[in-house]
Amino acid sequence: MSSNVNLNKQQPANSPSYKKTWKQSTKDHISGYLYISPFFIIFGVFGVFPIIFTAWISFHKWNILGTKEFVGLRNYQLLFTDDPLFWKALGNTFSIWFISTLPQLFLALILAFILNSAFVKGKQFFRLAVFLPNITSVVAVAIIFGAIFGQQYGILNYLLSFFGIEPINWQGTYWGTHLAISSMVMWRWTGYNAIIYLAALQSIPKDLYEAARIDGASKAQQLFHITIPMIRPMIIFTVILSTIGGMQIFAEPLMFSGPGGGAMDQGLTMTLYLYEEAFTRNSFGYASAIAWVLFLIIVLFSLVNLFVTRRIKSAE
Amino acid sequence: MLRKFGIQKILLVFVSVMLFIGVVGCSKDTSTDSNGKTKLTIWLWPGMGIEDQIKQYAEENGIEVDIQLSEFADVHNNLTTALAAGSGAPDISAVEVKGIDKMKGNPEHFHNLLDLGADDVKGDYLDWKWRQALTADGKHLLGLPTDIGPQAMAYRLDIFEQAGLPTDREEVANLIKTWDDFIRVGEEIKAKTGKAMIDSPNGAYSVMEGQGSEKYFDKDGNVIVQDNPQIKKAYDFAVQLIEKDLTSGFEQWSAEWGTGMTNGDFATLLAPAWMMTFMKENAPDAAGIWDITLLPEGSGNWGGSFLTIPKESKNAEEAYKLIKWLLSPEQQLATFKTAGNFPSTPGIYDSEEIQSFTSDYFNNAPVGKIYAEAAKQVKPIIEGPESIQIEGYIGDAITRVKDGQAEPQASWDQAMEQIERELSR
Repeated sequence: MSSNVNLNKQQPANSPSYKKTWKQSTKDHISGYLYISPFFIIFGVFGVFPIIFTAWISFHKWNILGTKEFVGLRNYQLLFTDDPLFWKALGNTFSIWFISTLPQLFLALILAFILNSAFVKGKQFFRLAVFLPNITSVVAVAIIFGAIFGQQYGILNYLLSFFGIEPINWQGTYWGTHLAISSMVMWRWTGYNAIIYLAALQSIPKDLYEAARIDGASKAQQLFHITIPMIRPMIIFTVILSTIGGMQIFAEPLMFSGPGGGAMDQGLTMTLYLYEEAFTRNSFGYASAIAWVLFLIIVLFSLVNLFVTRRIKSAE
Repeated sequence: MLRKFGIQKILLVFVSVMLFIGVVGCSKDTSTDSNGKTKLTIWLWPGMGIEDQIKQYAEENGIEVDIQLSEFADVHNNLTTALAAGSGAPDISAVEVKGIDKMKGNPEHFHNLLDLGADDVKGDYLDWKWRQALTADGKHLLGLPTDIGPQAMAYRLDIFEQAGLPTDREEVANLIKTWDDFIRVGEEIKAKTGKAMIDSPNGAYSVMEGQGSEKYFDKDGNVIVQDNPQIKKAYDFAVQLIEKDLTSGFEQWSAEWGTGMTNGDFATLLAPAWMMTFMKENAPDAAGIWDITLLPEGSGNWGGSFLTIPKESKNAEEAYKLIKWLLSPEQQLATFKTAGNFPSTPGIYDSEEIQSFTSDYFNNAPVGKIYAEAAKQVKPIIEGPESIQIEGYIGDAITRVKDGQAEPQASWDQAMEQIERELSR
């Protein structure tokens, strides 16, 4: 890494008092490492250390204020053999991720097409408008959505009543909670993804379409044979982004279902479970074990993702 | 010359890195402000009603205070984390009764108020309340008592009238003397007005479990949830309310709950003294329509808090002076008048000021007299270190039944299983 630094070294030839204790290249090496050291020091303190410390804690029973009691692999054993909640949280996370991501990306694509089409006036305004939900406070969003999805005074149930539909208990049922949380995620991230797609759409050369038109391709053919293939890398990128975000979903379920994820744990996601275990129940050893298992699950999931993504690319 | 320069450069880089880490890592020492005044950081949650008095004290005594409000659960979580980390804790923190039972396992994280002279004011406070913040060996006092939560029953005048029932406080108390009466009246109200009798089955559970002499732990610290008849009674009562369709379906503390409170979707709300503040804030438009009377089958305690001084505080003496003043009988009386949180100092219960205190919101009910009466009925009760979690699991069990997601017995069994699994971790 420091080999470049050697190029502009200067020899102190005309300095008689100079004593060479270190070779210049050694010094350059040292200074090179010092220049890049801030990152490694900070990464070590805030990144590596917590990971290792968490692993160490996971072999203990610890309520954070008292002393640690070494329990070996007991936390992991409990997690895999006697913890229905963990698997439920895993299922909830994937369910919410699935319900929110698919329609979200589809809607974002449609929005991007509309924003990119010639007939829309005031494009700047709409671009800003679709992005706005993304920068609103997630807690404020959750409070508003909580009011929308209320059972007795919720706007949604009021609207549904015009179609003769009985009030739905959104908060007290599995699919109701998952739908509500997914809709919050969609509301926040659809515009964000639309802006990414819009940028991708604008980078497609116009002459491709012209050539296609001259060859007599229909609008639909243009869409499937030019547009989609051209923005495929961006679609993959947004899928990966929403996967990462979806695995970490926390504030929405916390605000909608309350701490603990609701009476049936219908809103309990993986990170919420981890947080509850650590900061509400103060079982830090157990929470650390969850954290490590989560880490491994996400690694596994990312590998699958990578594999699938590579296959899509090679199909191009 | 150049060699020196090289080392200087290395030093410079090194120093900048250290400075950067220093800026990121260290927090400023805030025990005194720029004028040399003592500065006290205080953690409270909304609804405690003592902020103005703290500011008044600070002004009169020439100190600075920094009052930081967070949500109820967050105050406790943040405090635990700060104590464990050994930095970041305030000079004074409020801790609720269930939280203080947890902290009592590690009293070394708090200043012992007995060392600061708390013995002198012991006589001012209710004995059972005092002992809630005292370690088992009686040597370490973690906090001074703020309010207690004696329970009463708030009821809607309009709904009772509509159902052709008496609306006078005394008559309502006579009408609903037992929980069976409560169900009977509830059925009558349902039949005549179509309204629910109570806001939420969880509220009924929380109130009823506090009417016994034991909750989740016995005095030796053993978990007795499964064997305590009072807990089972409270659970069965909540289930009965659900099965007879006497609850409104609102989740307590939700936004809709406040709307229902304003619109009159339920006829009663079981209310510890601190609930009065919540009602006024959540349903300001319902002033004068709510009234309040004694609870059937005697009162009990729900909640109530303490002010503690974490060990990290460098101003323990000053902090103690502040809380001693703030929690004195006179100041607790002032808090009661403005916020409704009921004093933990029995010496003033019979005073003219409490006895004659009425509340506009509750149709000029003599709330001072009613809650003083309720406070006298409270039996000392042990909360125990994990009672927040246990209460949460049983509350979830009731909600599952309410939402039609589980049968009562299966839901109870699930909660018991969860409690057993959770407490072993």
